[in-house]
Amino acid sequence: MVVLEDVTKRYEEFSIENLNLTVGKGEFFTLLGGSGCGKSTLLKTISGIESEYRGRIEIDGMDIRGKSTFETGLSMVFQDSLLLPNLNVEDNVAFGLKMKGVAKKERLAKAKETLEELGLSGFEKRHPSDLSGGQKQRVAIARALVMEPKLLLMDEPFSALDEELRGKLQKLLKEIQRKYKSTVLFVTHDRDEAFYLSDKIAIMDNGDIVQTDKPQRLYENPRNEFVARFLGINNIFAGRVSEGVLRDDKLEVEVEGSQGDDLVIAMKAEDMRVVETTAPESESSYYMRGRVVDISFKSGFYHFYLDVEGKRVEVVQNRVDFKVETGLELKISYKKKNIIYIKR
Amino acid sequence: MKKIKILYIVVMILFLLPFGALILESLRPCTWYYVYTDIKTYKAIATTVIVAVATLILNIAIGTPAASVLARREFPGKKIVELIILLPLIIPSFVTSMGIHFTFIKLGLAETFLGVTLIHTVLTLPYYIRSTVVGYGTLGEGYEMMGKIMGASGLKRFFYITLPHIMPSVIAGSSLVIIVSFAQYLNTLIIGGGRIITVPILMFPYISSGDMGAGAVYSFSYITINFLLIFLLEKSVKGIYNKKMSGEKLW
Repeated sequence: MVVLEDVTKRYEEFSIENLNLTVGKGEFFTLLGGSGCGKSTLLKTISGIESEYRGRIEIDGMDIRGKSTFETGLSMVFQDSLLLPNLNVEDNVAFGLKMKGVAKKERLAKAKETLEELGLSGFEKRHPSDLSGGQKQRVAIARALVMEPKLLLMDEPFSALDEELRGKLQKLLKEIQRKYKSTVLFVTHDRDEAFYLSDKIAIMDNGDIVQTDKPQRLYENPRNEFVARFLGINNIFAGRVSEGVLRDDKLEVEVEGSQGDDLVIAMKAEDMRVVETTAPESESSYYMRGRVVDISFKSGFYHFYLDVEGKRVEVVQNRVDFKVETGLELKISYKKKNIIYIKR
Repeated sequence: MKKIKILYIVVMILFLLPFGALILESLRPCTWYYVYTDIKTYKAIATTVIVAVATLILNIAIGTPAASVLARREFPGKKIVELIILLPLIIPSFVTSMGIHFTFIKLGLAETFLGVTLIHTVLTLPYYIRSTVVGYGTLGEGYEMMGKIMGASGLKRFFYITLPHIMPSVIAGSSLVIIVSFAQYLNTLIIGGGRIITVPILMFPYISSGDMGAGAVYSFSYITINFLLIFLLEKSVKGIYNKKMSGEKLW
């Protein structure tokens, strides 16, 4: 288990202040955030690369301050594979064991075993310059796993790879992590990657953890507007409730709320639908009118952007039974139960 | 393609022609016998090689850490330090050595083997450092960071990670050191005061006095030993790091 207590790390232009974090044993934990949010800094601090910090970092009950990574028993994978170009694949994988003083025969056998696990049998004698980007990164993962780390740190390990390869390696990593129940602390800016891999995600912004939860729970209950927007929920409205209606400027949404409440709500684009203005209205749904300003078609889904009383509202659906063009006036249907209340 | 081939042949001829003349000159009667029965020849060759190797060792010892700092650290006055290191390349070398000569006389280093080695070191260090800085510059922090996480101590990181990485530029710099040290005539003469006799000092009178035969044999020996030394240097290093030393990438 990894525990961070009031960790503070200051730079001139940026700082992490009193950060607390717990990663359970065998958990795949992701720090998710945009560039410059402090997620890589935090990882470097835990790894011991950045040794100056305040607070306490514990791995399996041991305070890591002043200890080498060697003693703390953690491994790390970087965005760049950082394989030593003068060593072949098996020597690269066995490098950490060699530094640890493991006998040659034993360390090469272990390297071979780990490479097999990552589908790299037969690559033992090759040199890094003969490998593709994906293969290099798999070797880098093997090099980290062969140490049987108590904690595996991964700093955007797949972000330099193309999408297809990234998907394959994510799947492989997930399988291996589940099989060995490794504790992984993963850093990424890629939301889909975080959601696919993680047991738990901490969303970071400006050196602070904004929200920590299971992926699905995060998406269902974003704590604030930043988290909602970061997770791709762009329909966010704020205003005062009057007679069961929230007014954000001129836009009106039917909500559950008492008179005079100041609310921030979010509505997922896929929880809404566009219908023709002449379509009969259903009892269970509510409606707002808008004009189509933009349409895009991505991975099998239509993304409609409508102007509703001066606000941009996004609707995503996989099919539509009538012709939609920009400039067309439509109704957007939504259900009260799908409204996410960010701030009551 | 054909044009390039012709150009290549022309260049090779122009390059090799002087060697042909050199060989022909050296084939005059008795020259080889004359040069290689003289004990001075063997002494001069030994002195040249020992001075070059000692200069190289000093270069590696002083230049490698200097290059590491210059390539990877920022500090006040860095530009001035870089300039001072480069100065011997800019100022005519005999100006440097004449100045140093005074100091060496006071220190008792003039006309000594050590004095000559030191002046060679001063004159070769810019080449070595310039070359090694390039090697360090391509290393980046990542590899050493990774080494640290893998549990490699400072010394191990240097030998397993840094050294293999900078080795190509160390070899390039070392080759330059040997070539430049071999070529020293005036500076060796000023500091050595005629007591430390290297091959260039031995062969100069022959060439200037018109004994082309002996001059050619010395020149020929000089070139051969020079090449041999560089060849041995590369071979031995590649033997130690018997791995891919010349990947397409700036490994």
